[in-house]
Amino acid sequence: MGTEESNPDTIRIPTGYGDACVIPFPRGNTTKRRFAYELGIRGFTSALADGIVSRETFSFSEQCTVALLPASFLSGQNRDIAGIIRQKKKKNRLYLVPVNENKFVRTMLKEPAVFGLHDYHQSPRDAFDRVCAKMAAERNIAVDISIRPLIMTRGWERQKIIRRYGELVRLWHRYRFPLLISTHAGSVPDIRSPLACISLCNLIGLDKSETDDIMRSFPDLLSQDAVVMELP
Amino acid sequence: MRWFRPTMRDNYRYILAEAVPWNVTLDPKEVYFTISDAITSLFGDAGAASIACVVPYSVGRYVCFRCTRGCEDKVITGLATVHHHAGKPIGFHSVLVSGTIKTIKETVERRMRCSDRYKSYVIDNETEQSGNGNGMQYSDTRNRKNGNEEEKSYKRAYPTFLTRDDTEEYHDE
Repeated sequence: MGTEESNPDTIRIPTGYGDACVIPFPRGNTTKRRFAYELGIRGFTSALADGIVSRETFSFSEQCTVALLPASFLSGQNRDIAGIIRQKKKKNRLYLVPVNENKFVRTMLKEPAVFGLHDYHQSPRDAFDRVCAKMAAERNIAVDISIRPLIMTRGWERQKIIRRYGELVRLWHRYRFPLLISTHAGSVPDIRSPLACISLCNLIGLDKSETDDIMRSFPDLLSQDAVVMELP
Repeated sequence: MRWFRPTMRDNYRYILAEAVPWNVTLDPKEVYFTISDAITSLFGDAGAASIACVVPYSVGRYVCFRCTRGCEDKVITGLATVHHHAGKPIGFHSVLVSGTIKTIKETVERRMRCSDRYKSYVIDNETEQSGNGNGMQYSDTRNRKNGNEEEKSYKRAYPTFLTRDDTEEYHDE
């Protein structure tokens, strides 16, 4: 049960399911190693970790290797986010920007530093339209589907989120931009297994094979120098 | 008196789920109300009636759910939407779907025999520790007794999840 610092020039990611967002300590209440352990038990092999500094690979057994990759899920005012993206203050990090408004999204989709978009469920309805979908597909920028709001909300709020995600999935069926599926887990009980993710995504119009492909294609979405590591 | 002939009865499937964190205490009746609430919220009353989910068996952190055949995916979806139980955060992970409860019991016995390694590696602190919102001070406060004045001054307590290696690293620092 050890950790191994990866080569900074390459990203070594085990093949398998990827979780697009976990929030380890200090923002969450779970340490990186514990997150990696739980993710490994549940069947994940890689995850984007919000707030960590460097890439780390944790090996718990021959079959259980989990890579945590540093990512920044930016939030706040559009001007501040644009400033961070243009300056690219923290290198070796994947930046995800919120879907705030249409003009902002179109601007961000032209930025090479942007890896993906998140918080789609909180955005105005016209923030991510077909033009944005086409641009995201051309530039290989992913859109994050967080299952956390599906879990944490009830009643009309969840109905609204399911409807919004349904619209996104309809756009995805047409334009095939990259999708991410994340648990946004800040704690061990918040982690959901790939099977649970698949069954929850069934609610928003993604069938089993589509969700499976999306979660397995997670390593391919990362940068060109990503090295996919075959598990024994 | 049996109401239906065997060929007319509903077919059932049994779903084994494990709860996280491992030190949570589960009362089958309360678990039934939790899952019933989650399924009703997600699929409505008519959907919940057709799923007919009950809790026939529970031991430790393992719970067995019974539902009508063909509704296993709906129960797994409902389980995924459970985030609190008896006022505490919890997660249910489906482990096995079986046609008989015997297989479920055998699997539970096998998994409980193997769970010592897991318990010896992880530390789930639900109630014994308290924190001041400063994260890793939990390891420091863990050994303090309740009468300590410093611990009394901490305003809120919430769970922490770490591994043995994390505590060792922390103490090495």
